[in-house]
Amino acid sequence: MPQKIDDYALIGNMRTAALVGRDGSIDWLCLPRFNSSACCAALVGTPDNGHWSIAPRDGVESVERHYRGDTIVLETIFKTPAGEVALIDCLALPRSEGQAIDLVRIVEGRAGQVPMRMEALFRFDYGRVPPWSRRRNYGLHVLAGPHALQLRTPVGLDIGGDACTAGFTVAKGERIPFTLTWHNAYRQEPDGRDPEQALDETDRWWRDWSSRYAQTHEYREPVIRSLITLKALTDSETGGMVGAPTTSLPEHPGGKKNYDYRFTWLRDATFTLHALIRSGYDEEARLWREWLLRVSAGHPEKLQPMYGIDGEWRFPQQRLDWLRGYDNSRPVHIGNQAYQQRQIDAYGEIVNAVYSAHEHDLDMNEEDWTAQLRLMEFLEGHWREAGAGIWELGSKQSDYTHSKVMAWVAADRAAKTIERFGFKGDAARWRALADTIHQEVCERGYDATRNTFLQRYDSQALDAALLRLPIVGFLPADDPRIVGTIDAIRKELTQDGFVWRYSDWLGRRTSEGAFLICSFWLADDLILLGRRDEARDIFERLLSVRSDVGLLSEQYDPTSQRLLGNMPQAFSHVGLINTAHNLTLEQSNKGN
Amino acid sequence: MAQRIEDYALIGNMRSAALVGRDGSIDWLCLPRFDSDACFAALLGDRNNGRWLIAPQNEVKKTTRCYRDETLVLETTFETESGTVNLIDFMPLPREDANVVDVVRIVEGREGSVPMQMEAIIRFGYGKVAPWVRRKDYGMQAVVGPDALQLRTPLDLHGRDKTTIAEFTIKAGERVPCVLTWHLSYREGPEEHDAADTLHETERWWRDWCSNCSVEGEWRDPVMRSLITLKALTDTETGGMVAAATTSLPEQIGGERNWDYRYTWLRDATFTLYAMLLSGYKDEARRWREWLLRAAAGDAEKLQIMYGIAGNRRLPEQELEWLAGYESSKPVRVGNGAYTQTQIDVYGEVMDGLYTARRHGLQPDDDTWNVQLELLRYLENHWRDADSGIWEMRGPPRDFTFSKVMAWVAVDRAVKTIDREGLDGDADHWRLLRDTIHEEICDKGFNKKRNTFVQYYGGEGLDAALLMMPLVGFLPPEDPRIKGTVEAIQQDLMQDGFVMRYSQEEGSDGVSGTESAFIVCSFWLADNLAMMGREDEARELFEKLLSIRNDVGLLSEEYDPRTHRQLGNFPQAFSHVGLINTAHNLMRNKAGPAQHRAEQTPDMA
Repeated sequence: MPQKIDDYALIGNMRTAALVGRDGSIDWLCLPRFNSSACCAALVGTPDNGHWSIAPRDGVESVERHYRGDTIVLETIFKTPAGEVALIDCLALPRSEGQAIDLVRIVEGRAGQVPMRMEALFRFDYGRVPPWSRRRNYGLHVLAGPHALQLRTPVGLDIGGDACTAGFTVAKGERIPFTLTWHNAYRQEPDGRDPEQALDETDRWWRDWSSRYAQTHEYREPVIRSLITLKALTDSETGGMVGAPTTSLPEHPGGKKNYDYRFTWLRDATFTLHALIRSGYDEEARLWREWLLRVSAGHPEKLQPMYGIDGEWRFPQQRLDWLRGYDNSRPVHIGNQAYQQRQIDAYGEIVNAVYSAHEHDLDMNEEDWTAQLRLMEFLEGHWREAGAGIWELGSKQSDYTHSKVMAWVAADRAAKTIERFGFKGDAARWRALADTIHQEVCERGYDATRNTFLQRYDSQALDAALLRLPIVGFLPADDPRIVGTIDAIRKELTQDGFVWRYSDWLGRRTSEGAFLICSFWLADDLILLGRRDEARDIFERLLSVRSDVGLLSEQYDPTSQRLLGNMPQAFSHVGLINTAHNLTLEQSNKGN
Repeated sequence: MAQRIEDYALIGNMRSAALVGRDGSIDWLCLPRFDSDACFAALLGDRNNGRWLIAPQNEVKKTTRCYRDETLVLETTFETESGTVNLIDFMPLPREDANVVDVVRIVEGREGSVPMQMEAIIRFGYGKVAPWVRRKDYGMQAVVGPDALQLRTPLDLHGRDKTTIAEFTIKAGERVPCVLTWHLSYREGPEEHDAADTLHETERWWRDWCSNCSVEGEWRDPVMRSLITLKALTDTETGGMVAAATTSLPEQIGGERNWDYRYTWLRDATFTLYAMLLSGYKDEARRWREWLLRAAAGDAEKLQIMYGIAGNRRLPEQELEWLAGYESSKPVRVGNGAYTQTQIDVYGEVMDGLYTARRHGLQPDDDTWNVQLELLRYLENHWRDADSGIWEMRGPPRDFTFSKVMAWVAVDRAVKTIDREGLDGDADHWRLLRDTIHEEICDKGFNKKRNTFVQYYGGEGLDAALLMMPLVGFLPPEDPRIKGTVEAIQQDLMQDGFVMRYSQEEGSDGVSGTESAFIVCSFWLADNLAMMGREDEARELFEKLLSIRNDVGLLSEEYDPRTHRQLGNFPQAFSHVGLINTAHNLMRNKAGPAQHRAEQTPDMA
């Protein structure tokens, strides 16, 4: 039985990330990038698929974890009868030169004398290929194909068997470092990096970054943790943001809905942009805008819902048959076929994001606008086409109401950009398009008998994405049709304040967990309706399901009280930030 | 539509390569690496899949091409009514920053005054995605996702229908450069390198490299051209070598035998190592050994027959449905499903390659030997397994005779390494295994009725790979069974004097369609003839093979003697390896390397 998804904490350096279990084991580590193959893949397999654990040899009585201040440096404190020890884990900031990546783990004696055990078993290419191991004066060097790792430590290593192990004792006040450095196997081995110095620099950098969040309010702590998480999931060089750092953590334990989230969804990234702008992180927003131009300009007709972190556009899905999956949830996938889907809402997300960048005085220029106009010209001719919708239901090409609403958003924001910011263009043309779409949606996407908007024009199913209608300004929150939709969703898709994504035509919820961002949207709607106390209730319930270190995955199962799906998930943390701001900021009633 | 395969010439920088047509159009270019997506893919589709043309506007009366002496710098001369112009194409040596790649084209007026056109249609993602194009003071920049291209030129550029165009006139003595530079879109654009300077440097580098070649005499030119081609197909950073610069050039026009060769096959690469060593290039052999150790390290059981250039393992095959294929040969594939195949012969090739490296004085090291022993132990338990064979049959696994022969080679070279190089190991144990394999092959792989070895145990069909048997020293060339095999192949596997790979009935190899003569097999036949003392026949065949090279000395994988066309991926390392080895055999009157290789086995069973 693997650890719970909640039991994994994130460390990261904005190039890649790792998951560290409460037991001190790194069970997921992709090197050198988020989307590289994993050399520790126990998370979606067994310990034999690669892990790196450091923990007391025996007798752990309690484990307590936290991030050090406003950083992504993790501290895990093990109490044993023999004493107390802290394990400090961080992915160091990227070096200024070269491609090497350093993961630093420092064992710090806090009380007594604790016998410890380290076990490093690396299996490259997602837990499959054992490397070739050699002893070095600094410790261990392993290599396999293009990948090489140095494990540097003053502790004596036992290199004979499958795993590299070490037994050592740490006394109060002692600090024992382990540094794992990835490098290209075909290049010179890089020099070692002082682990204490790397830790200090990294710690300081994160504190500095976090201190730029200027707002003080009761939800500052969860908001900062969410911002740090989003930042950690954003590639510092290209500006692309992964949906989550993992693949194939199941939406339903033992189930087949296991996907690779180590890609950049336009939707997630634009939501993140909103959250960052509202939190005062303009530089990140600018980086993202450049990323967006690079992937979308030049060929608006080929806009994909998702791209690789660097903007790659083809990543066919493969199954990794040798991995048994998290909690036997097979298959484990890499790549993601959803890149081939058409999701009309992506256009609306982009135009809306750029519009709100304008609103916040980020310097958008003619170049951006020209690219936008091309998207609009394409959308004008294609918004009526069926798509896969926000939930990527590839098998059900349909007229998703939410997608059409986002097409309306695109046209509406295009008109406003011309009207309000003086860009050249035909505002009336886009206003007319917006009106046409609005009318069609209200006619065909709305069920007057039930007084609710529907998931698709041709279906009776409900969809939590419809909670976004008042948020994006399609209709005011107090419009009876919106009130009716919120009521219907609360009745049919909600349990204990947690909202499921959609139901089938019989009103049955999908067999997965509640989708966390949808629950945040419900809170947002209630705020817009002026029902702040109800909203606050839901929000605080959502805060309570965060893991011990403040992280959220994609979904939550209220019955087993477990987080489900890829972890941590950007989308959920974006929801948290936006709702916190809606609850606390002056301009909260503007939504989004 | 693309030109004939032999109408293309290769330029490259040992990180990537491009194909330039006789018409002055670059129709294939993958950036930044051999196995990256192509941004010019007209080769496998049409001009809208991306190409970069520089040519006279008016009718060309005559086109001649050559590489500048002992370099990979291509010179195409167009003669027109109004004058003559030279187009100089090359890829400069890699810059220090591995994430920058240049392609340089210099137009040089020779005589008169020639109206010229330049047309750049950039389509990233194998001809699919048009870029976002911005005018720059140096020319223009095109961006899609992670890829950016700068086009630097003094020419006046304009855009039309997602195409960048320039029209200009070049007079005698004038030179106009066009430099295309790839960089990561999210990094600062790199600084300009002067086209004339890089031309000079690139030429000097190749000439330096060629000056280390030990081959002299009548065949230095074709051998040198082949060596340059092999070098150009070898990644300078990782040491990995691609089998060819292209994907999906068809083995049969209009057929579906279209594969991606931009990967490193252990077989092709060790054969290349052999040809390099023979020609005096030790450093390449050393780098290749390091590559092999990294790729094979860890677990002998998981040795693959092929890897990505950097030693990466998963090469899933996909079809690019938006490309029409070379002369409608669909599908176009990227990736290669053969990476999951079992081909027992690779153990033999790897062991032979490493043995040869030692014999040529490459410093032995314990790491290598330890990996070899592990491979050997694996082979001991698996040499009897059925496999897909050297030709990567996509049908049911079989006991291919050639695979077993190469298992014998693996064990034989181990015995010799222990005996002659004094490395640790149980020579007697391996000698026993070697004899067992030999005996079984002679028993089950030989058809007495036809007096020939056959493609697989119990079969009747022939296989040109069996021509390797005397070359690797399995039996001496004068052994009646070898003579019988050569005769059978000459009788049944020849087409207009060229050798086919194997007896083929429609679909017998798991793929529909048929193919033409396989060029390397014809070189093997020449080697056999040379070893048997049939010098004249060998020389005649070799010269015939030289005559099918294209105008700049390049060979693809196959040749169709009826249509006189080269077929398959281009240029292909394997064919050029064959050329080099046979030239060596013929150049040294008697004790040619083929005999050498065989004579490494005097204590043979």
